[in-house]
Amino acid sequence: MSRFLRPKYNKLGDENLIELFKQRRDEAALNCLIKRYMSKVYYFSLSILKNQMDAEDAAMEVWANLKNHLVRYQIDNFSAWLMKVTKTESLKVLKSRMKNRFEELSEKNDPALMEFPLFEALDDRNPELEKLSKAVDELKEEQNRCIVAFYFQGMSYEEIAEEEGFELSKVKSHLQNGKRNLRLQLTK
Amino acid sequence: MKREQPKSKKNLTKEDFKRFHRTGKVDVDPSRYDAFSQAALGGVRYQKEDPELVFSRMEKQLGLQDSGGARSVSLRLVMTAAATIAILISVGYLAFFQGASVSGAEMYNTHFMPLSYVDDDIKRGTRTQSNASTDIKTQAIQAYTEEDYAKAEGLFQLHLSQTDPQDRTARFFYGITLLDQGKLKPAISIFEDTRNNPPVAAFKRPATFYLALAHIRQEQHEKALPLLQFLASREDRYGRKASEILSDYGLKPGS
Repeated sequence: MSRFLRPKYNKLGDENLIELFKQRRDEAALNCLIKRYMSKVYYFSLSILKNQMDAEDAAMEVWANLKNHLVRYQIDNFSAWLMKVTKTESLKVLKSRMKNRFEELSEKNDPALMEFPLFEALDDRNPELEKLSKAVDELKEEQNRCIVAFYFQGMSYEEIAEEEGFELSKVKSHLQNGKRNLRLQLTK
Repeated sequence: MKREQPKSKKNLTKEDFKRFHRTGKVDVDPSRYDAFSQAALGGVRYQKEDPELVFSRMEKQLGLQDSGGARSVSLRLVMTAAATIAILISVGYLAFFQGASVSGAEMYNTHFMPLSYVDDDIKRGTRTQSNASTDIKTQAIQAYTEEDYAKAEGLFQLHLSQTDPQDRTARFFYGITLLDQGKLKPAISIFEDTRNNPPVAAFKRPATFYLALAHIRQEQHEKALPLLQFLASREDRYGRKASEILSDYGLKPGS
């Protein structure tokens, strides 16, 4: 390419940026692509994981694998493809997060362990995890906050009470009702 | 050219998400946004920390910035702006003409090629060489052929306003004179019209080519690229020229 004429990356479409990276290993084109989608990948992951740290991890995993994916695969619609990859990575993290949480609860012999829907399904039913994530979004506000804090963010009953300003008994009640509603949603 | 997002659907940007966080509400109509943006909206309620900090942290980890933190970003932006202004004031003129800066105008100058006037009136026999020799149109063509585009512009304008407003061939060449003088908006309108309804089929490709050049000169590269890809699919002078321009963008024809 002429030294006088360099592409204006932010004016190029996704496919053009990908071509630049594939043909010339143009890191600036790749960086432009990442910056373009950074917020959407993070927020979409957050919608599934409901936990900022986990969402950040999942998003970083997406970006870390991007170079290899671009080189290995022919991607026709980058936005749709990236959305799918983000979902897959997020569900992987969600599965791992749930597994860890249930191991903690198991050690404490906490009754919340066996009552939470889908505990048994963690190993081989990933589509159910996505369904669970959506069902959590549809819970009443207080139930949503307690379920998310307890299962997705790994907080204790006491920490939730302090963080959310609820009585301890209310936290337990919201969790109990939330779990019941989730089960109803998931068996529809 | 590969499939792009439908143009009617918008993308949510980092700034949108920051605004949602700041105001505590999603102030957009989700149906106007693409599927990815709509799905991402579901995460807004779970964002507690200032999103700027999250983005800075991620950008830092990915090596997209030198240092993290909202403050340093702002400071860097201010410093960059100051440096840019200083550079523009001190060496801008020189740098521009030495080719250090990149502009659509430079690309235009590199790739513009004149198109010989094809007098289809004469071809069709509706006008003869003899009676044409002194009329305004002939003078316009003469000026155009001599690449005196400013003079040709005025003469074509006169011809189109007073002699033959329906002369779509002359209108197309009038468009080229406008393009040359940087009158891009009317030129684009003429080229788009010529491309969609060419007076003769052979004008479709040149109209597409000059339309692409006009977009480039206007710094609307995104609009020029699909036109260039279209032209590059055929092996003629426009196809070869389009391939050259695409190669300047670092792209292959058909990519």
